[in-house]
Amino acid sequence: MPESLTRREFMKELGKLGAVASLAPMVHLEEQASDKAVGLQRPSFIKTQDEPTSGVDWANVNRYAEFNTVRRGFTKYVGEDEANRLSEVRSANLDKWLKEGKDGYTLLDLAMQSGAGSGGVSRSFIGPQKAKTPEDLGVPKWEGTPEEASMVVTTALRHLGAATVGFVELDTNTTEKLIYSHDPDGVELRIEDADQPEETEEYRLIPKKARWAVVYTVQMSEETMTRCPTPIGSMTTSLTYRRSQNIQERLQEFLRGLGYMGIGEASTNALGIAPAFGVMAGLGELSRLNRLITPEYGPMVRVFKLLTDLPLAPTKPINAGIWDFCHDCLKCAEMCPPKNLSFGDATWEVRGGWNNPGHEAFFENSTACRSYWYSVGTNCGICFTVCPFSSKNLASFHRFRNSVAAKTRMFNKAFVSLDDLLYSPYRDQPETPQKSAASWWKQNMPDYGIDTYQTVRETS
Amino acid sequence: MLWLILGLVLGAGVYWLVTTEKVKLTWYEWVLVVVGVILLLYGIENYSASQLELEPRAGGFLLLIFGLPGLILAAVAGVLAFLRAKKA
Repeated sequence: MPESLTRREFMKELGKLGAVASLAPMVHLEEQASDKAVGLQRPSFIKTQDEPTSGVDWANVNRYAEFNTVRRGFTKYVGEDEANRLSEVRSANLDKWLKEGKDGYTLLDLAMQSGAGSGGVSRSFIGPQKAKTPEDLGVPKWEGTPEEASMVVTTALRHLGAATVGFVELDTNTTEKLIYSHDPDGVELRIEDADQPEETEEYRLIPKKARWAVVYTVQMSEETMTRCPTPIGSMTTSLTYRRSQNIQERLQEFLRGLGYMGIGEASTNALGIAPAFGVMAGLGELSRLNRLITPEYGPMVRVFKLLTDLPLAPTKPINAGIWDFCHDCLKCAEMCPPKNLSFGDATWEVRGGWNNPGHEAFFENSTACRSYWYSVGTNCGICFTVCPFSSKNLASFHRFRNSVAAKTRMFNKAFVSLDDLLYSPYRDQPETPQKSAASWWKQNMPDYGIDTYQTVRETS
Repeated sequence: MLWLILGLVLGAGVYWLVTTEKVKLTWYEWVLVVVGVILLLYGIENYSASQLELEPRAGGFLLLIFGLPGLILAAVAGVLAFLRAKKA
């Protein structure tokens, strides 16, 4: 600093000092960020472990073609005549119930279902490719440690609407097998050495260097789905898928802006086996529903995934006692109208071509499930709704129950009985929505009917 | 606000129990009161949170399940202390 200062020089030097002082906390934060492991802010009873609670025999896992699921292959499994008959049943029931004004099937409910199922950008394998890349801007691409990259992707995703976020590193002999061999539209998914992803009518090429799967959940509304199986109850599922389309595109453009690829789901449920990725990323555990159950939201989420060449810090599978709890709880199976869920213990024996072998699960009869959807004219969701883990977790009793269930199986049956008493007034009439659809219209719910307070990323 | 009011009521109650000459609690009556109040507060917390969850039915049951035993325990302590005071 000069010995003698004019007023202007003094102010200039003071400004420099201010800049240094204001930058100091930022430098400190940067240091903290690189030192601190990134993860979900979860209670201590949720343990991480190297292998999932449900067994996996990777040697017997093969890449699966999505079109063999009942979602796409229903006609193949039940025959064309039965599929046509069920379509007629669906049309007739919807028409009858609309005219009768059946609870959940009124014009109001059907209009809301149409509205919630609208909007959302189209899904795309490689994204819109419109964001300016670092190369376009004349700067090097963003670089950081895998932990820093995980942190910024998590922060971005949560701001874009995701609930929980995890990461899986693809390994040829294990986790890479969770990528579908074929997408829902029959297009082959190839994994090869290449510089950029590529898409033709016959195949979609995933460069081998895209080794990291970003796995994220998007919340559904428990309060809404409690009205299932009705159009108004199913509407939260459609809405969540529409929201996820926007999230995927924005994540793809964010990654492009950083200088990396974002390989997304080319259509709904494409790219890879969502529950399996969710389990491997530690977002939840497999369950009697044969779907992912998360500690935060139970099964009330949809799971999505995206591949990138941005190196990320993998998150580990968890043990929150959910898999064990499902061994003691039969509520979803008992309340499933077509009784398609497993009543026995978990097994390695698949129930049909819609299951992928090589892992332990409560395998389900998916064709019975899908047939029931036709009869009610919409998707179902009773098993999601009645799951004890679907509780909204503001009442501290739920946190107490979750922490006890994570440590011992001794009280699981008592917790199920209590859940029946608290949340299932129509326990013996599972086809009756647990709350009336008409009452949904009078509820004062938060945005999207979800609670975004839970699961704040660990930042300190 | 609910917890501020409950805190004030609880504080006033404890202050009265400690300072009053009319009622002197034995150690086991204090245990009954403390356990009872904890259960009652737990019931109230679950009840009010269940209202926010839009689950009033569950809230009512939780208040009953935790609050009622809490109330009974505290009442038992009160009755014991009252009977003793009456006898003396």
